[in-house]
Amino acid sequence: MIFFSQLLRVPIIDSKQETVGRLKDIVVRAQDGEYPKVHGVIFKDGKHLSFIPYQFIETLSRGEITLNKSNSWKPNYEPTNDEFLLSRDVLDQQIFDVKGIRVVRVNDLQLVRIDNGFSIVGIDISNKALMRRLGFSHLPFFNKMESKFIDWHNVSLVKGSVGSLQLKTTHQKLQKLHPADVANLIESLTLPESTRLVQSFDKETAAEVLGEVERKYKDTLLEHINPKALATIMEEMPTDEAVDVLKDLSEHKRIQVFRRLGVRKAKTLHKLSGYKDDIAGGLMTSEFMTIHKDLSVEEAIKLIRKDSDNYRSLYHVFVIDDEKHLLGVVSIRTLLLSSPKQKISDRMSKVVRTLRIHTKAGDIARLMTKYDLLSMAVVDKQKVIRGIVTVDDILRLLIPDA
Amino acid sequence: METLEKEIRPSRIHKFKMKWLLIFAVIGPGIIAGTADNDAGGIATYSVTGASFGYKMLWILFLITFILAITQEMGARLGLVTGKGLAALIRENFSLKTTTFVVIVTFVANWTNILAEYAGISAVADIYGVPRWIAIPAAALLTWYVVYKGSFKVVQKIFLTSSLLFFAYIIAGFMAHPQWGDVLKGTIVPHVEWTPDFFYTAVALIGTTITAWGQFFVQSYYVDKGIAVEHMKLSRWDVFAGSFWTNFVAFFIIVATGATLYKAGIIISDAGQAATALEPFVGTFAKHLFAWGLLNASLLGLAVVSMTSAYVVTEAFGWEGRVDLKQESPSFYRIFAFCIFSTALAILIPGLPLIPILVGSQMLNTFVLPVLFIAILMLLNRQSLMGKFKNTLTMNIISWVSVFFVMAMAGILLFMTVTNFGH
Repeated sequence: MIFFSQLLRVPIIDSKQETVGRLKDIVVRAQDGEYPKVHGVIFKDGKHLSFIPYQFIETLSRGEITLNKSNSWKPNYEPTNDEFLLSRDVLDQQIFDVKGIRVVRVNDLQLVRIDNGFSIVGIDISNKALMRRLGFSHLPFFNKMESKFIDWHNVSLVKGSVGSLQLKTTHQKLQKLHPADVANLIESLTLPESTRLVQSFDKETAAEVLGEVERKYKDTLLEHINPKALATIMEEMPTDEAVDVLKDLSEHKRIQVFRRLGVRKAKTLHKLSGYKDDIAGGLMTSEFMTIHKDLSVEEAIKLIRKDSDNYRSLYHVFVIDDEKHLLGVVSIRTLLLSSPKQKISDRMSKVVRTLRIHTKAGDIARLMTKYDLLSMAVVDKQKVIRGIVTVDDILRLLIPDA
Repeated sequence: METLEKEIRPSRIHKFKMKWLLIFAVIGPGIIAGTADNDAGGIATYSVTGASFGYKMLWILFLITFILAITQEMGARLGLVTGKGLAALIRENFSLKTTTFVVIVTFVANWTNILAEYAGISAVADIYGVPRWIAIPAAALLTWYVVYKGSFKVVQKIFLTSSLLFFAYIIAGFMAHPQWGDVLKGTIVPHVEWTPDFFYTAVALIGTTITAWGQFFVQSYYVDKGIAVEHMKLSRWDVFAGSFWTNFVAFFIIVATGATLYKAGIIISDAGQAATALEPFVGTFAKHLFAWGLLNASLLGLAVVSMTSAYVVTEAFGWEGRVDLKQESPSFYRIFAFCIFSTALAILIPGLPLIPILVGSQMLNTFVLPVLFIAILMLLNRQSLMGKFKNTLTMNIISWVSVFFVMAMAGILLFMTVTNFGH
C-alpha cells in the first residue's frame, strides 16, 4: 500500500536512466462498481504538463518511478470524461462520506496493487495523514496516532469541475441514501456547492431532498436555485410542500417561479398559499384520488394502476357521486379483498368526519388521534372535496425540528 | 396566467419596502468586520496618534479608508462567489505546508491580539476601580456565552449593536470642541514630518486597520451569512460602508485627543490613559464615553478575533464548522473557548510583559499579510474559481498598488521595531 502523498514529487526515471521530471499528479479512471484505476502519471516538463500512460511504468514506489521506455508521453494532457486527477480534484478537497453521511476533507489517498495495476481503495481523513504530509512522521507520538480510512466505494466527490461520469456516480451513490440523509449532507456543504448539487439531481430526487432540508438552510438554498429549475422541482412536489416553498421565497423570486410553473399548478398553489399554515387549508394537499360510486372494484383498481404515478402515497381513494359530493372512502386493502364485480358504493365506508378549510391544526390532531385516522378530507359547503390533510403534515407542524 | 401574475405582482410601494428588507438582509458582515478592526489596539493607536500629532495624520487615515475598503471587498467577493473561507481556499488551491504556515502564524498573532483586547478591558476596569480578577473572567464568560449559546442571528444583532455603540466616540469628538477648519485642513492637506516617530505612528495606523484576522473574518462571515451572489452590489456597499464607518470613528477619536491632549502637550501611551487624561478638558461624561467605547471595542474584538482563529483552524484542517451548527462542529467551539480562556488566564499573570508581546504580534502579522494578499489576488484572478466575478485589469492594478503599499508599510514597521529605530 502506498499513500498518494508519498508519490508526489518523486523523480520519474526513464529506460535510459535519465530523470524526466517529478510526479505532479496521477490520472485515474473511474469504473462502475470498481476502485478507480491508475491510468497514468503527470509530470511537469518545462512549462507544460506531460502524461505518461500506466503501461510504460515499470515500478511505482515511494522513492522513484521507473519507466520501461523513453519519450513516450503526450504533452498537454486533458483528462477525458471518466477520468480525474488525484491532486487537482481529490486531495485536500471535500468529499461526501456516504456511509458516515457527512462531508469531510481528503488528507491523503490510499493506493493498493490490484491485478496488474494500482487502484485507489480509500481516503485517509485522519490528522495522522496531515502530520505525515508535513514531514512529522519521525516524531515519537506519530505512531500512536490513528488513521481513519473511508472506503472509496463509500465516497463521492463534491467538486463540480470533475467530469460528468463522476457526477453520475455521485448521484448513484447519493440516491441510495434516504432523502433525509442527502439533505443532511447538503446542509454541511457550502451554498454554491449545495445549490449545484440540488440542481443536478433529477426533479423527483430534488423534490424529495428539498422536502427534507432543515428550514433555516432551505430558505437560503431556495433563493439560490435558479427559477427555472425550482419551478420544475416544484411541479414534482406534493402540493402542500410546494405551497410551503412558495411561502418561503422572496417576493421577487416567487414571481419568477410563478411565471415558469404550469398554469394548473400555479393556480392551485396560488389559491392554497393564501391560507395560513396552521389551518386545514394551509396544511392540505391536493394529492388525493377520487372515484365514482358506480364503478366496480375491478374498474377502480384499473384506474388506480393507471394513475398511481401521480401520487407519492396512496392508502385511500375517495368516493364521489355525479355532483362530486363526497360520499365515502375505501381503502386499498378493502379493494384488494373485495371480489372484482362488487360495486364500490357497497364496499366503501361512509365518511363521517370531514374538515373545513378553517379547521385549526390542533383540532385536526385531536380528531385524527381520537378516530385513529391517517388522513382526513377537507370539504366545502357543498360537500365537495378540496384536499386532504395527512397525519404526517400534522406531525411536522407539531414537531417542526425533526 | 396573465391575471394570476397581476394578482401576485407587488405594488410599487411594496417593491420599495422589499428593497429595504433586502438591504437589511445583506448588510452586516461588512459593517461588523470593519468595526471589529477598531479593537482595543486600534483605539489605543488612534488615541496616541491624536495626542502626539494632533490633526496632522488625518489625511493618512483618509487614505487608509480606501485601502481598507479595497482589501475587505476582495475578501467579501471571494467568500460570496466560492462559498468558502480563506483558509479552506488556500488549502484547496495551494499547498498544505503554506496552509499550515498561515494557520499557525495567524493563530499565534490572534492569540496575542486577544491579550491586547483583555488589556483594554483591564484599563477600563482600572478606571472604575473594578479588580482585574473579576473583570477579566467576567468578560471571558460573557463573550463565550454569547457566541456559544446565541444563534447566528442573535450574535449578528449583538455585533451590529456593538458597532453602533462606537457612536460614543463621535459624541466625544464633538464635545472636545475642535477647530473644524484645522481638522479639515489636516484631512485633505498631506503633511509629513521627517521624524522616526511620525513614520512609526503612520505605519502603526495602517497596521492596526489592515490585519490578517480582519481578512479571514470578513470572508468567513460572508460565507456563513449565505448571501446570494446576485446581491454582490449590495454587499459591496456594505463593505464600503463598514470601512467608512470604521475610519469615521477613528477620525473622531483622533480629533478628540488632538483637540485636547495634543494642545496641552500631554503624552499618553494607551487608550485607558486617554480616557482619564480627557477628563480635565472635556468633563467626566467624555471620560465615560471613552471608557465605555474602549470596553465595547475590546469585547467585540475579543469575540471576533477568537472566532476568526476557530474559523481558520477548522477550515484548514477539515474540522469544518459554522457558527450555527453547534452539534456538527464541536471543534469550532473548542478552539473558540481555548482562545478566550487561555488568554484570560495569561493576562492575569502578574508582571506579564505585554508591550514586547504586542510588538511580536505585529511582527507576525507582517509576515503573514503578504502571503495572504498574494494568495487572495491569485485566487481572484482564477477564471475557474471566480467566473464573471474575476478581477478586472483595473481592479488588479488598484489591488496590487494597495497591497504593495500595505506590505511596504508593514515591512517598514517591522524594520523599525527590530532595529529599535527612533528610540
